[in-house]
Amino acid sequence: MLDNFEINEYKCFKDFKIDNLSQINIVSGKNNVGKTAFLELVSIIENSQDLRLFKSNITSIFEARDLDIDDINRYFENINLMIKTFDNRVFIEHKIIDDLTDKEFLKIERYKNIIIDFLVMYKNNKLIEIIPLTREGSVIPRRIYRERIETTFINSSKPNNSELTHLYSKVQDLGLESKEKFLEYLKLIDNNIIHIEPQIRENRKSFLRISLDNQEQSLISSELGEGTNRFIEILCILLTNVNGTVLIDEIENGIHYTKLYDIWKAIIEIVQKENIQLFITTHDRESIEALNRASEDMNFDKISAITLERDDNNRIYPIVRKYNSFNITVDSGMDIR
Amino acid sequence: MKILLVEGITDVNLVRYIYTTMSDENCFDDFEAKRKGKIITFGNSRHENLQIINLKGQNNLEVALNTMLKPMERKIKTIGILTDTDNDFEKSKEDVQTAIKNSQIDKDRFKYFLTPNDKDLGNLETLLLSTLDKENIPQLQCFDSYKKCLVKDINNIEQRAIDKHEVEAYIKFSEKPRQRNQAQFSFIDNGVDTGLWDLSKKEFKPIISFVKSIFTS
Repeated sequence: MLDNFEINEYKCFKDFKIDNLSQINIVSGKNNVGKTAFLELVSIIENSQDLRLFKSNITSIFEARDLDIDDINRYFENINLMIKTFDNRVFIEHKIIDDLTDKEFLKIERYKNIIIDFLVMYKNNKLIEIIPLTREGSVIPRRIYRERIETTFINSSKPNNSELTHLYSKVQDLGLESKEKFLEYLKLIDNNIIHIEPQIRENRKSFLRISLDNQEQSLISSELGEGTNRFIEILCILLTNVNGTVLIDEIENGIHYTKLYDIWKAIIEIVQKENIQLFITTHDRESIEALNRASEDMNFDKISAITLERDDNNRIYPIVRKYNSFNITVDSGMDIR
Repeated sequence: MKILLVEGITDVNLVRYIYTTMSDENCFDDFEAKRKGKIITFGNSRHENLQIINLKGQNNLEVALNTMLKPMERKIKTIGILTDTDNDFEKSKEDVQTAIKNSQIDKDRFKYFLTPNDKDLGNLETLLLSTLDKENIPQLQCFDSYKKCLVKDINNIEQRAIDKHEVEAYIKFSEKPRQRNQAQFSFIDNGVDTGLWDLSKKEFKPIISFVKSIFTS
């Protein structure tokens, strides 16, 4: 699990350092302080083992932010990234062919008359990898790499029917016990849900059909509230990411405050069982207080509360509270958002 | 952010009273009933840079400094500590200084004040009683006789307990009948100034000056 990291620059983060991370990390701070960008940072760090994975992950992040190919290309052209975790220092930069060292050039010789731009990665001062930086419309046919991105990012918006169906199918693949457990957790948000089943319409659009105890007809997942849809998404991802890292933006969206305590208890149970490291952003005091109560009741102390702040020079820095500090501070009523 | 750490709820309410009188603003909310911590914070979202922390006893000073304030050290401009001298001024001062040193927070951010007046023995009730014109307050004349009687016949009565009792007698039998005679409710009760304490008295000057130095620094 990630315990600490340092990065020289990414978006609003300059020379940013953080330690004392835990299994559940709850990130708060004012609007536009960089909470979502912090999740992206974690994703970048977890996916920096090789350059293709790194590049693919950055592309996904930019696409999720509705940025286009020019923005992505511009980022890579200007990249000069240093990441430090535990004892590893990774350095990724853009170089044009004329600036490559002899050792670097040897690795890309076959591209010498075709490609000008490259991404170069060093780890602990040792050259690890160089890949060509191709652009849209380049004459080199693009190979498609099926990299498995190491983090799963749940953004703040409501998932659509086909996204949920795709996610739920992975739970189904785990077997009957997982499906039954899934339903048990789902009932925390609505006790009336008795059955859930993926289906496909004639137009080949997929959806989840949800049967409720108090209704004569069943409902399609998009007909349910935002909170229920989000919780289905969160459950699916947690249950299918054993030993992984999950990032959730604005966990409280659509969820009624009275359900937060039970949902946190479910999340704590799942992350412990599946060995997941979780990073979550929130604006919501009730969510933080519910996590505090749930963790106390379950004797779970692997929590770090991270508040992002800006100093007088507008640089972001973290205030990190490990469990004991988090517990006493929240119990006192002090607002840690 | 400016934070004042105090020993108990009476200190909280005196500080609130002083600040409200100084600034005509009520910056510290009343939601203690909702909170379950051994340490309680008073503040509100409109004035998030001012907070009072009720330690509920001197023993929680180190816990508050190390677990609550140390992580957010960068954000804090001033930390005030208001605590009682009790029976030994030098010991009480040393205890505060030790807690500050152990917190590893930059000591230049700290200011502290030992009630009643940062030099004599006693506590907050000692300060409150020193501002009263006892000769012209009938219930305190009676209390004097009661106090002499208690001390004569009962061993080991703590001065602090007698002072608290005396303050309550003053409040209980003041001109306006009061439902709640504890000192903590004697400053502002249900949003109204009780008029029981005169902040213009010279005995209040040192503590007012201290509170001002924290919240207007």
